[in-house]
Amino acid sequence: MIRYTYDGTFDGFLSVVFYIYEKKLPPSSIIPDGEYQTDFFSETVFVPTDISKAMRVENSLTSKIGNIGFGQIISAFSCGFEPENKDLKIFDFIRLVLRVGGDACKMYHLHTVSDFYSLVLKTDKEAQHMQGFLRFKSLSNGILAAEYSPDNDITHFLTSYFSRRNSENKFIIRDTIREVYGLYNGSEWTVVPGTPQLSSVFEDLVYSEKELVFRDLWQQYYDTVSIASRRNERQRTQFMPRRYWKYLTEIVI
Amino acid sequence: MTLKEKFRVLTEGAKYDVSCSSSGSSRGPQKGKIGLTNVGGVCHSFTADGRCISLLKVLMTNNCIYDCKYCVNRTSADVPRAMLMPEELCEIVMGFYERNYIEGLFLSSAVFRDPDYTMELLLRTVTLLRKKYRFGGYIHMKAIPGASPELIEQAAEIVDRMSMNIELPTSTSLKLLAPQKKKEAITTPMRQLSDLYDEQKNAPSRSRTLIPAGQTTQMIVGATPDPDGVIIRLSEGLYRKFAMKRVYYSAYVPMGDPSLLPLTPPNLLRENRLYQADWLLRFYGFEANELVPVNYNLPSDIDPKSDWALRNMDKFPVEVNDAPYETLLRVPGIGVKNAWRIREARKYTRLDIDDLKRMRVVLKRAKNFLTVNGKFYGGSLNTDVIHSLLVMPEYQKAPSEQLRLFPEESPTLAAAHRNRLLSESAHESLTGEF
Ligand code: SF4
Repeated sequence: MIRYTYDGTFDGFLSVVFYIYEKKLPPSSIIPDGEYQTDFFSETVFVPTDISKAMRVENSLTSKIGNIGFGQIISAFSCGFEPENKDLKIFDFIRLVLRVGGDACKMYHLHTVSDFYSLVLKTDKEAQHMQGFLRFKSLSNGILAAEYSPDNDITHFLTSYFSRRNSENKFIIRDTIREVYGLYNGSEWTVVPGTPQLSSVFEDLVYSEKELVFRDLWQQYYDTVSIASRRNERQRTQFMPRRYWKYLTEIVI
Repeated sequence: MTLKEKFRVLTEGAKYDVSCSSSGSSRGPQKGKIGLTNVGGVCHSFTADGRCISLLKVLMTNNCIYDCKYCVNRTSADVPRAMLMPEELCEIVMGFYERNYIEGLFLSSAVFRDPDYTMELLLRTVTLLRKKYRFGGYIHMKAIPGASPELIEQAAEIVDRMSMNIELPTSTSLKLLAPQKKKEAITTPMRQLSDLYDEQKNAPSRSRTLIPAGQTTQMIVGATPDPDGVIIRLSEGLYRKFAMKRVYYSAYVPMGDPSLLPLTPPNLLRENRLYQADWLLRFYGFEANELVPVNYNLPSDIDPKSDWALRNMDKFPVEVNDAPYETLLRVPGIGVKNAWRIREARKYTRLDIDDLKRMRVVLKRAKNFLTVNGKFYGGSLNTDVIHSLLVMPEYQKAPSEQLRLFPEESPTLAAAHRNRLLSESAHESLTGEF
């Protein structure tokens, strides 16, 4: 059994999958390089990222489980929970797919499948939440800026989504946990690791004049639209967990 | 009055309409437009009363010529009156939308001067929003009772969803509490909208141009003595005859004319039971007749599906591995998603109790109605015993109507990631192991 490491990217992970099948050497674990201490008792192999091999794995998976199924693999990979076991769980699922084909996605009774879907669900749920909960503020230079602290690595998803939703505005999204930034210049989007220049955008925020007007109207709307006699704090926090409140314009803590 | 103050008054007047959903329409980004729609809808926030904010819900004006007794905007009510200019409203919608506060607009109005005048005002506003402000997001617009069919059709071409509120479930109640509103003023446009919707029913949802998200309506519960049996039968008829997308139920909040209406606080549990029964009609294959006799209310101590099952114990227990899908749907505790998963998974194996647990089937209630691979895991088949097990302190657990129990389709990350991957690396032909 071999311990595999790679550069932490999705293509890197798919390269590991390719390597394992090529060498026929099953993994004891798959972990991004440098994340955990070396284990002296098992052999460690670092697999370099190879885009063309990654693409072959992707094509093969897509032909079996379609774009939706492949998207779920990406979701599972983006999941921020269970960092030590996550990659291995995804690998187990991929192995099942390669063995039985598309049916794997419906074998809900198997551990492999239910473990895999619980990763997918965590990511997709947060991504869906943030489609609604992310808040942009307009800066004096015309750019919209949003900050958030997600549990999962979903900035690429959100950047892509908002580039379609807000196609005419330049914007910047900051994941404060991973220090990665989603950028959109009005025609193309990208996700990049943080730099001092990017983080400085969020240090001295200079808002546009309109920003304060809209914030004020929105806060009033939020307070007014609630029906006082039906107050239900439990339900509010159930649907909108408190850890998201920090960045919500409408909630003044 | 300042803009902020007007906006407050018109939010106040709109908030008792509980519909806020932005679902049912899926329009991708269009060139030259700002915004898109998501088929499952998106919740942007939750209010202190636990309800989803998806759309900016506001009245054009709360100046009303009518005097519906239950309504906060009735002529005789002593409230400040205001009116927004179309431009003012469009500016707010765009400002809110680009900050991601909202998914779109739910525009409604009191009846100002006459129905056609009001309808024209709404129409002018949404046209401005679509044309001048190039807004491509979600618009839900209220159809004004009594407005001419031409105006209704024009609106249907612009907006995603329209609604006409029935408000009161019987003509007797309507006569008493909304004497100026004729039943026909509500049902005629409903019929018209359902015909318009039907005409393009078979077109794929993306190419539908008339109200792609269909029509909805709302009924107030508890303002009149009308029982649940009447309400649920009316809903069933609306779903069948008018292709209604949703019927909303709103527990009456005492704000109407106190001489004709109850002063008691809203019965949220009753509202919740009606929503449960409504789900059973729409997604579980139940008929109103099976759920509650016409002159009765739904039971409050247990949910309507459990209630039905207890009255039909001769049909249970059913075997999880053999029962048809339709029967699984009728087992208390098993939802659409679980029934679907069971149906798929049992093709590969004979399911046992551990399989079900891994599939996250909650067995607490279901086990009393099932055998799993021949074994019964419930405590008893005695109706009274099971009944006592099913009673739950549900009042606090009442899900809001906006709770998306069955998201119509959840967006996956697939599209986004794939685009990235495809743009970064060239396609390779399939060779070798893969
Ligand atoms: S028509 Fe009736 S329900 Fe509508 S705003 Fe006027 S008083 Fe209220």
